Amino acid sequence: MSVHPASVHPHAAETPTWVKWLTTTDHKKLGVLYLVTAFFMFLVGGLFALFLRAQLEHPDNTLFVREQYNQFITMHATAMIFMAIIPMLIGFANFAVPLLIGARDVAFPRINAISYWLLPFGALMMFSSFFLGGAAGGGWTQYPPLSGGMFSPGRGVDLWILGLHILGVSSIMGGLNFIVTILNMRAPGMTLHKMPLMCWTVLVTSWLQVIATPVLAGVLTMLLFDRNFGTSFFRPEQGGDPLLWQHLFWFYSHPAVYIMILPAFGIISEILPVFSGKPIFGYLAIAYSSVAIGILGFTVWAHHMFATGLPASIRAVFMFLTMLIAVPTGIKIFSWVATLWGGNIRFYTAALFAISFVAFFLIGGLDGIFLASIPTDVQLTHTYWVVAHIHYVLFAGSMLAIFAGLYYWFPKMTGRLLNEGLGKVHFWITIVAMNVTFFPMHILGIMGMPRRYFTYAPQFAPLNQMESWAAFALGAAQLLFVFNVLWSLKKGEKAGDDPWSGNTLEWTVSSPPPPHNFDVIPTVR
Amino acid sequence: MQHSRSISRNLALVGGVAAALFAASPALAVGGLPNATPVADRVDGLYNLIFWITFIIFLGVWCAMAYILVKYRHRPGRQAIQTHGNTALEIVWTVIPALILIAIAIPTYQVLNYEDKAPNPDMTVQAIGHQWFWEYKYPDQKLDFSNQDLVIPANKVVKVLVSSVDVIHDWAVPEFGFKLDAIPGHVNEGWVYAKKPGDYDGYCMQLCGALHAKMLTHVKALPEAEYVTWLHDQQKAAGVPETPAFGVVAQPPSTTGVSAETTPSKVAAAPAKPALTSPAALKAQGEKVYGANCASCHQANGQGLPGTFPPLAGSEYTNGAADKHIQTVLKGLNGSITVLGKPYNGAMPPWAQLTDDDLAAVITYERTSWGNHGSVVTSDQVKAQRGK
Repeated sequence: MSVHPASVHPHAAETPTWVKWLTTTDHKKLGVLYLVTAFFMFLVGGLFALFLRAQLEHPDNTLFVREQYNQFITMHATAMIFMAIIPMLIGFANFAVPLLIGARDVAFPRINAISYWLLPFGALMMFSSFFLGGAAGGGWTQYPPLSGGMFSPGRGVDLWILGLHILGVSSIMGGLNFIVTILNMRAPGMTLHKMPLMCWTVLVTSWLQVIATPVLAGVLTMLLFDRNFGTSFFRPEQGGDPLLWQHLFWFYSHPAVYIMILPAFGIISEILPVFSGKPIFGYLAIAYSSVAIGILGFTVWAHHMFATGLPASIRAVFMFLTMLIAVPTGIKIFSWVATLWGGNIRFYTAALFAISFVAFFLIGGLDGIFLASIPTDVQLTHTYWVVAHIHYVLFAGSMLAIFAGLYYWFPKMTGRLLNEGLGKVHFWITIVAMNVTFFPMHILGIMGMPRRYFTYAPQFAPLNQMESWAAFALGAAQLLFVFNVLWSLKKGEKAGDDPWSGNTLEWTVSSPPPPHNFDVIPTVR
Repeated sequence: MQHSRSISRNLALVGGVAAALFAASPALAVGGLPNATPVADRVDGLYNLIFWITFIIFLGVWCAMAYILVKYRHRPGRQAIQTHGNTALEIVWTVIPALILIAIAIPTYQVLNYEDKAPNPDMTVQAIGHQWFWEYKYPDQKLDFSNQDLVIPANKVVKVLVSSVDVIHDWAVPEFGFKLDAIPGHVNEGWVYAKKPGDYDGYCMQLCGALHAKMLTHVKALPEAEYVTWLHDQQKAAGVPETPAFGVVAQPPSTTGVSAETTPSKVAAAPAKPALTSPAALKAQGEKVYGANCASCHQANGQGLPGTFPPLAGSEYTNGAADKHIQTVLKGLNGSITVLGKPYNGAMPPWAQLTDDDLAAVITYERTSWGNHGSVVTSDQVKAQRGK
């Protein structure tokens, strides 16, 4: 192709947009990259969930059975936890925290870029297993000996371990970055007690990532060595103990649940005051209850192991500590309700998602009390009750908060508002379908239906069928959201600097903000 | 940008969702199973206590929210009440939940103590998890069954020892309020007292591989007299001496003693060890090993299950080269294979944990039964294949 003389103009040398995105170290662009990548993984994880619901639509279905079904449950959970929910929340932290504290970027922008780029490669490493002999099928908890070399001889578990290692490195680096940023780079006058609550939750989450993830890395390496190099940490025939895996795995994975919910608490604590038109109720109580949840989160792991035959005295200690977590969680719920009280509540889609978070996360919190009390836990654990509980925490909790955050900050990210009409349709289908999908799982659990079964007895059929069709509707509603995003990017209403009458620093700059965020670093009084 | 007209519609929908949830919630209180044991009675009572406490909290928060959302919705000219908090209120909603949790914790601890300490057991059974069936042993009565219902007497305290020979399983009977993980290298102890005779569904509740969903079991609780008759019939059939049904706890059932008995090498439970030299002795021993380990999938008649488990009768594996057959049993199989022209895509676990003698016996049994005409296999052949 011949070069037109005009294109030799100096402007032609300007970097193309896509190269700018691939090489950026700007926290706002990285935040958007995190959100886009992780939302794509949310759709992938959701597709796996729909495969599972399709299989469970009627008993004795033969669509996805046996090893394949186990691979799908494993990859559904792994994708949702490690590649969708955690990175979407990190995406919000990336986009919002420097703006919220009045900083020009995070402390280590290049490390921030590495943290992001490890995510797609970790995901590729894990999903490549489907083309290299089959994915891991031991469930996302990967209990040995099932995940050991003798019972999972393929490469799936090894690729799962290595992929998770990569995501773990990303998580540790990201955590360090945000600890340093939040502690050192707040605008003059912004003491810790004046810092927006989102930043408090990101700070606590970052500590959880930095403290807990190395334990996960250790236990994953032990399994990798058991599988490939003849060690026997978890192999009973050589003197190892499968329960050791469970202790170490849950020492990470219980705090991981808080990594998935604390930033969601932060998002809600930013959004509810704005749409109530008044300050958050009980700022300090909310801030320090996050700290309490973070600390207590390290002391409750064995409540995942109440049916493993641990002595009653040990289980009782873990039960009391687990129940204790209900207190700071309750403080948050009551404070959010009180924030709405006396307000001037504007029902935009972002507000609807935030309010429904409070209403439905409550169910996830309350049904957790049944799982803290040992005798009821033993009755309900390993059944669909647990599936109901985790989805009321991670969908009715984390995901509703993520949607609230997306509707809230989309105008700041792009300069345009998401369409409110489509948003409301998305909201109502999501809320109804979510409850019809997940609520009856409580009843299945009481009836004794075990989780991770690819088929079931006829008495479980009606509720399963209902859940499957509701799940399909839930999936379809998310495509509507994707359409809304694509449409609004081109044709959405112009947002202006401050479409919601917000009261934090990001609303004082343009939408999208300039690369350096603030022309003059603001001073907080 | 105002959408206040849609508010009433939104509130109607909130009401609709709320009504649906309220209607569904009591199903949680009454949707349970019949309680077949005193432990289940207590678990159910505790469940109901927690249910009503949490349901009242749920109702309280939802009613407060519904009231607030209606009363304080945006209207032109409305001014929000600017308040940052209320210390007294915040103390109240910290202390009251703490008190409620104590109210839950105390009865919880009582139920935990009750279910944890077995009363004097009348008898002991072992539930031993295999991929993918349960083996039930009556150690004092010298009986051992695989892939059959567990038969117990009603109105007797039955100590249940749960263990596994391969991966982690979980022996659960929801109507008993019984659930214990079966972990290799561990023996977990629980107890069952069936209040009345009946049939109860049991499940494996810990993901244990490809056929986890098929690892179902049943517990049959018989009236005492019927149970004793059944037991003695079984002992006669198995050729073991008749014993009293209850109270034979000869050795203190220490955990280590049981654990030794459930180590993988003893799965087949060969009584004395006769030298398995003759093909007939091999085949006889092989039939027992087959019944304990193989029949649940490949079936007692060697026909397998169409589409799921390949047949051994007439199969290329059982009639072909002995070494390939030995390797298959030792190492297991994974992925797609073709047997008698039909495709199979499952997973066979490796059986290297069995002794050379037992493996030679079971392989010989498979190669010489159901019209098969494979060669007899000796334990030396098995030993030679182990390293390969």
